[in-house]
Amino acid sequence: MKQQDSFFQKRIKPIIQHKVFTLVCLYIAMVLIFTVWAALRGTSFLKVAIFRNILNSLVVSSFLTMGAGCLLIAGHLDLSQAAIGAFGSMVLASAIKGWGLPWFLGVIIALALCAVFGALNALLVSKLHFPSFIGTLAMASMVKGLMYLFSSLGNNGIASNINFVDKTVTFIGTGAVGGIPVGVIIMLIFFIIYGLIISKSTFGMKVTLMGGSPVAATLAGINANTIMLILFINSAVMGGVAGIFNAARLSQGALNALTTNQFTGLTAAILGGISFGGGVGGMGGAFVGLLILNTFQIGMGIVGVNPFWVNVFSGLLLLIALSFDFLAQQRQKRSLAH
Amino acid sequence: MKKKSALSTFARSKSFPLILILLVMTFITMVISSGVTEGAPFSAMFTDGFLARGNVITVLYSMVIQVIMLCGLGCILISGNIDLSVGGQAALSTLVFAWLCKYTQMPWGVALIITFCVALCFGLINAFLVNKLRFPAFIATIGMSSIYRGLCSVMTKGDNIQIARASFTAIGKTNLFGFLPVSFVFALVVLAIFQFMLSYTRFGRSIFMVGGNQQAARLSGLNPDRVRLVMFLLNSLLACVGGLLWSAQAKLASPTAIIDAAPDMQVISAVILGGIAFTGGAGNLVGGLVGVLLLNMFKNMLIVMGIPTYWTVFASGFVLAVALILDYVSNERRRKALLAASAAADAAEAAGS
Amino acid sequence: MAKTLEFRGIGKSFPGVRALDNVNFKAEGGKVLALLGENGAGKSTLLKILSGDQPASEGEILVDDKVTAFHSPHDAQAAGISVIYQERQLMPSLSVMENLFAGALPKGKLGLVDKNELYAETQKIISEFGLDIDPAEEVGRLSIANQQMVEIMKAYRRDSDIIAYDEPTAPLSEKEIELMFKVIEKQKAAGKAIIYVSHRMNEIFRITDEIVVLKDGRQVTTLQTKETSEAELIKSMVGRDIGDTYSNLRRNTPTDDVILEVRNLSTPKVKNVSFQIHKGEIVGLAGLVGAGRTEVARALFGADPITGGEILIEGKPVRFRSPREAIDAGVALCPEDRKEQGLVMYRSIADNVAMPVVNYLKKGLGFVDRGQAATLAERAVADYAIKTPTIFKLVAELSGGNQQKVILGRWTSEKVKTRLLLLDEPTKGIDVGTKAEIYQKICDLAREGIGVLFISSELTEVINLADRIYVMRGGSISGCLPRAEATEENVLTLAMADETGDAGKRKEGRA
Repeated sequence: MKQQDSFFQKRIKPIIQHKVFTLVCLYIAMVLIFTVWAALRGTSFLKVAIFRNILNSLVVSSFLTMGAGCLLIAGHLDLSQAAIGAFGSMVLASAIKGWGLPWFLGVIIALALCAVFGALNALLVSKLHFPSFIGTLAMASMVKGLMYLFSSLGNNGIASNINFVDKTVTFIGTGAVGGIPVGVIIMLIFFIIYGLIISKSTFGMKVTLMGGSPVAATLAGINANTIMLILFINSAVMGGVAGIFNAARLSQGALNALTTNQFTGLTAAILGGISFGGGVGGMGGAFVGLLILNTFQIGMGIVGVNPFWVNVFSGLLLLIALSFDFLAQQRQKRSLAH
Repeated sequence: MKKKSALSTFARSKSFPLILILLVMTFITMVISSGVTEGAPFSAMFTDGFLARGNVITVLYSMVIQVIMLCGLGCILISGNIDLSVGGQAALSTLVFAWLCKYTQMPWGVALIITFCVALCFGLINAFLVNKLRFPAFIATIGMSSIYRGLCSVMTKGDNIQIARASFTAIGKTNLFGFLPVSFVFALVVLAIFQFMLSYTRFGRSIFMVGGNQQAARLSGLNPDRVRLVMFLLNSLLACVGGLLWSAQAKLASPTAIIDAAPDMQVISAVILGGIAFTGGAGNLVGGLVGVLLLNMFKNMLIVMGIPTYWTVFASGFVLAVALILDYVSNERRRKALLAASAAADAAEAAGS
Repeated sequence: MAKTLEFRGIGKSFPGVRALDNVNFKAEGGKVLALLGENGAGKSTLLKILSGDQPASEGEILVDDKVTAFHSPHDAQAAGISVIYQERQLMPSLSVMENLFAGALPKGKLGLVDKNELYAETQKIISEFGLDIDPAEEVGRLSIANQQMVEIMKAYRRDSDIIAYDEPTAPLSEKEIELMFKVIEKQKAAGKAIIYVSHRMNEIFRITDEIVVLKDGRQVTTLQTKETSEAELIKSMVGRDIGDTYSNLRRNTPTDDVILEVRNLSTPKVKNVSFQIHKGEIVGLAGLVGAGRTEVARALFGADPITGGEILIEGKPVRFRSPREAIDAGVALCPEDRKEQGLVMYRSIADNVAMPVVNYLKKGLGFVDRGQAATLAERAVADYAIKTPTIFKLVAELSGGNQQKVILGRWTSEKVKTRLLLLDEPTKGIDVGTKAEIYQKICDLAREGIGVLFISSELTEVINLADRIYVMRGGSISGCLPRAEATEENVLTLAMADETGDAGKRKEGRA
């Protein structure tokens, strides 16, 4: 009896108390609700095809989430991620179509450009001490302008989407291996790698410590500026990857790419338990957060709710995510008050 | 009482260099856009191109909504908060107004009052999230703005609503002396009232106090939550008024137009440019007005000088970045001056004792 | 008319913590009541209840024998209570007059703020204090001491009948302390009830009439100042006779090898500072708050940029651009603000100990070697007798003394190889028992050959612990005293007197 107790204490209890467990429960509840709701409407929700759809719909925003999530753990925000990613997709498109480069060179150039913007963001925040949300907001607007200019070059000064044809890129975007979309496979691999980096590596440890207290971390020899540089570049590059997937799926560099995903990354990360103040959270939670968001959207579509409502609900979800965060912090504070 | 002359105060203020920049830019644009360099008479500078009557009116009209929003957002920033949902609030409240005008027979005055009540509810929600739930203001208002944006589309399924009340739309097209839009004058009056409130009333000063050090203000017997509540209410009301003036000009309410133009971001850039510190506790609305002028004229100059319009998208972010850099530089200088002054005072005392 | 304030059976609970338990005292008009206790004894909680910042969990507060309930600072002020806070509660970007009259700006015509009256009223108060401050000056531009005086004037302005001072003298020089005491005498004579919280025994004996001693949230005793002694007070504060802490220490012996030499070090707040530390030596750095001691330590640690001068470690010139470089060269800093700058509060002891050596805890592919990290933390817990059930406890859950031990443990783990330890106020807010443990640990570290720079505002501890003391004033070093010559009087003279005076003669010291 006693042994059972300690097994429970040691193995089961930490799992139950873990935030991701709550989220998974929430997710299962949501799936059940949609299943019943859909059944009442005479359709069905619990189908392999639908879940493949959901996973597939995650791909683009998942990269945004990985970039934004890491940054958020360190206590920063990047609101220029989507704009930078859109620019990246534009560059890829014109590299293939306009300059006739092979696809991988296009990808490299696009991501390199994104990295430069990321480095600029880091500079604004770490050297000039801008609040990260306003600095990156300014960056977003500049990048958007540059993207318009870029796409209007050699097009009589009119900005427009750029269509391109490339079999490999299209395969990466829409192809499937053994019934599983390529994008989903890549996404899962990235999630595992990022999850390991954040929770198991020395770099990840430094990131979370810095998020907990940048001053204390710096004075204990953790170079906050370097970490910030890496994370902002990472965020921008992941924006670029998202942009490239978007382009690969549409075979088009689109001016308004990623605009609908702009806050998805952030919302998913917060929903997944990455604390807004920084210092807490991991990639597992972020993944479940993303899953919840997208299942919600697709589920709403299946049960036939007006798509315009989805915008309203995603704002609400952000606020609900924040409330969870707030409640958790309150609980922690209360248990520590002296 | 040691009083500095108004002129020297002005010369040392943050707005001063901005106004100089503005004048120089205006002059250059006047010259280039009027074609004087290509042989047009000198007088063309004051009638053609940038200073042409049509162009001036366009610029003034485009500023109305921003000046009105500036009053609320400026105060919010001084009190150390932020509201990123004013665009959404403006759009949604104009839609409510337009809907009431179109689908009910009520006089537009009544519709206006109902719309104001709706706007006050928006402010109440923001204040609740920030005061009661203690959410960071900017993330809470980002969330709200997404909700408002969604509600706008839900309400109209993405379409515009025309406003066909002539007496209302007249507000949007009446000009004084042929070049001064009434709505712009109204915006300036509102700004003057708010600036007066900030400088001379107890409530105005308490906004500065809450922004300067919230805890100190609380311990001095002020109620920061109440100040914030009133601020958010006023801000939402102003967002609504700004939106209504916009739709009086456009004769319609649109679920996307106001949000896409992002007047709130423009205003925040302008306000920082005009010297209201992001951290709160300092600044004034007149500086913000100079910032709004600068921003809009800058954009308009690009247009009249024939520079591709895409540059204007870039320009608004660029100006925000420049504003931030200026803010940073002046804060650094100020911080150093403060350190020096404080250290000098300490040294003087030590020597004196 | 004399007012009274009575606390009757006041208790305050936070979930899991009993901060105050059954506290009873009565402050009477025309008297000064002292609240004495170690940090964490409940003084600040008591003041928070008094100021209306937090409600009491039980018991009642009586003003003039009438039960009164405060729900906000506003209520407390309305009942005639003012609190002068240790952490100055000022609005730096606003003027002195607006700071003084915040919440009660004089109304003129049309309900607007009457700026002329505001100015005149402020000037009147400043004159009464005998200070030279412009009412329209921004508070942020004043000296720290004058800012503190503004905080005191704020309470004076309200003309409250009950005034609480929370350790008001920390940033003040003798001159301002005298001014403040005169104000307190005046308030006392006017029949106001005064509550005075301080650690400084001489102040307590000088101005108070009655002393309430608190320990662990409980009221230990109430004594008449005239009838008690310092020894008795300490004994009741600590709850036991601590004996002579310093004479029981196992001492270090300084060697002749120089570990650190600083030549003409300058930063924006430090001017031409030169000094040496030997291996195995504890060097004290004394001076008033704001004299530049913290800045010296931060500059040595690469945390702040240097504008001039040289730093030599074991004879080799170094110039650190970041704390990382300093740590790699064997320099360690325990910063002044433990909670903000020293620790990541919501992380475990293990993580906080591992912070400077995360890079050395790799096991292939960049993964963290948790086992090794745990070993380091276990050793720190054992070495410093940190009171915790496991190394995975969050540091926020530890007491102040144990938190400080975590920082010390971090810098003395075998992985960092510290040669020079910079301690900035390491015993601030720590109870007497733990203080003694930390003193012994510092001596032990010096015995191992580490050079220690010991910054402290508590004169007794610098004088008794340091082998030599450098005194700073206004950003430069005003003198050096060997232990034999170090008395409170000598140190204070150097910390405050004019350089051309007495102090100049002793300037060379033993360097």
